[in-house]
Amino acid sequence: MPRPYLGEIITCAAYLGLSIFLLFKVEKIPQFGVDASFGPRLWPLIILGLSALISASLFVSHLLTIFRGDARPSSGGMEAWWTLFLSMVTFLLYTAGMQYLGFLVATPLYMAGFMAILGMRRWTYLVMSSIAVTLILNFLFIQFLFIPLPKGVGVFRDISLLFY
Amino acid sequence: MVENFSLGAQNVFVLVNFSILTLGVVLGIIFGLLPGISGVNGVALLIPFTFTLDPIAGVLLLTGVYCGSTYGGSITSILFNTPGDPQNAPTCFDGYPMAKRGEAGRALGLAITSSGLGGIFGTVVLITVSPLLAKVALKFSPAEFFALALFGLSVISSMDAKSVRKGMLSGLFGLLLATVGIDAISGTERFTFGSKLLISGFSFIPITVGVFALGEIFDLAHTQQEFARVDRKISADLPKLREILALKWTLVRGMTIGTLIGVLPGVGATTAAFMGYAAEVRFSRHPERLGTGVPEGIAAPESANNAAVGASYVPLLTMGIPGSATTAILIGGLLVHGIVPGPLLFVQQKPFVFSIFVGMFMANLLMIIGGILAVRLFVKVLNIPYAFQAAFVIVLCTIGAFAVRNDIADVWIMLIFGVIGFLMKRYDFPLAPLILGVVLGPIAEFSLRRAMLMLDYNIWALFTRPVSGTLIILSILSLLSPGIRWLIALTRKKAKASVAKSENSTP
Repeated sequence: MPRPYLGEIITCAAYLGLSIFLLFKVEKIPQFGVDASFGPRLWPLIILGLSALISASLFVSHLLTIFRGDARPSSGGMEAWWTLFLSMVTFLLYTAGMQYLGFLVATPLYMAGFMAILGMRRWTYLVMSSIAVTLILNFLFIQFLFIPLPKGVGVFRDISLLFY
Repeated sequence: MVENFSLGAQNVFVLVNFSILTLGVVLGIIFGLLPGISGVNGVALLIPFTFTLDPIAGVLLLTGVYCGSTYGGSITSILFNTPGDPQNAPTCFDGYPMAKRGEAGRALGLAITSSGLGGIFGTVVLITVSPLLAKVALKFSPAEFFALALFGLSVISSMDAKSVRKGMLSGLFGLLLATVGIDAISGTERFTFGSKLLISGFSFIPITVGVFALGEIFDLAHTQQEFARVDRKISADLPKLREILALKWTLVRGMTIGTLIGVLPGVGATTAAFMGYAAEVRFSRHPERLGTGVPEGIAAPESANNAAVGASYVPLLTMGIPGSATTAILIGGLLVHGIVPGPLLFVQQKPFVFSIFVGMFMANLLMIIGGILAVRLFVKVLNIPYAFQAAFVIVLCTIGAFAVRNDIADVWIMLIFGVIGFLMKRYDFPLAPLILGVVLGPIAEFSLRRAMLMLDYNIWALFTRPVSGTLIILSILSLLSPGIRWLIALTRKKAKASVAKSENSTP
């Protein structure tokens, strides 16, 4: 099975599965009144029905493409699945950690880590820019625009309270 | 009329008011270019600051922000493929490829020029024909709104002729996302699965920021592709008059569409931008070039969205109906100062109305000047290491997503859609139909159900009404057009083959 098409097949199959699953859920949406046939079920029914049809059609097309042995042109550039994985995990940790560490602590850590993952090796620039940006954003969004970004818990909350 | 304009100009050119208007434009450009903050949030954030201002000054500030933000988002669209504001999303399609080729200055110059011309055109229309436009818009029934939403979605979905099915799936996914939450008409829950988060539905901003910004950054992290670095000596490359004249029909279409869309209650600059781009796809002599970095791809949406700004004030001022999400917030700003928008405004508070007219005109001029200055500054951003840019943009996006509801859950949603955006990009699913589906979904469904109520549940009546029927048929043709073209090509191919065969068989 040619590698370039595998992800597309999985994507189409996943969306087909989601459409069918949600089609069953549509039946549970309460519908009443004179205009029951044009109530809250109609629109999702139309969307999911079309989605199931089109994703099934795409799924079959991709399967036929594989059987014919057609190859997809290379997208070019070096693929770095590891960098991608780290990028996603880093952001996940940042989002999860922000609630406990607070914005002011989590952000420079995240920025420094992410820049390092993307290949920056100017360590002084990396550290100083992360801290500087965090402080500027603190002033602009938290203190000037009053966006209540997470303060964190425990000692990290105390650190945040020093600034806002 | 002249006397009223004179009064309006006197109000605007008072030092304090003019300074506030300028500040509004600058802030608007900044709000617009920051992903996730957007002009809508910027206007909402500034309304409390207008409490202490004179009513005219307060409205000028908010108008300046609105005008500036409609252009500001194009800067990040072009430089980072991240729309700073949803109405600048289509600018990514051609602006970013142009920037990757090292023509960022040219792209930015096109954006500011188109924005300025579109904004001025919208303002002129607002001033001269607002009563007429308001009458036309009021004649639209829910059937026409539904047809318009359907038309916009179908054209955008069929833009990529090679993968119409993928475009349709993307649009349908966006429509599906828009159904999550509480149904606006019946109040029933749909696809909430008992989750408090899903009861309020998906907010547009985390989806947009996730799909466009995060998805792009993940994609670049995956492929490790470097875009062309811009010459450090680059400056804003304003288009020459010859180039502007070459784009005249694109600009006229964009400005006209933007005005017509903007004047429709509740539709707004985002729809205008997408419709402007879709129209360019439809009427361009070389539609296959759109999306590869051509001037038309920037001029069309930018002229449309800025024209929609001025036009969106038409229903606001004449009928008290918001022409866009931003003008809906503006109504709050007017009411705070005891000003009730509506037809009586033109009778009882003419100086105020004409102050807005003059203020909007000046805001567009200030936007052009400010945009040129900002472009010169922000083009230099391209020289900053990409790792820093990416980290900075992600943190801004995080703040923007969080700021929607002050809830970390929106940041999680942004991450999920970042992964989805990466997958869509990798497997050639277009992103625009998804965003348009999220935006137009509620409008389309609400309009359809109201139309059915009005038409006694006779769905065929949608086709018999001239405007809605025409738009629906055009929508169907748009989606079928690649198939029709394929059939025609196949027929011609077979005809040629049979002619060749008969020629070969004759002795």
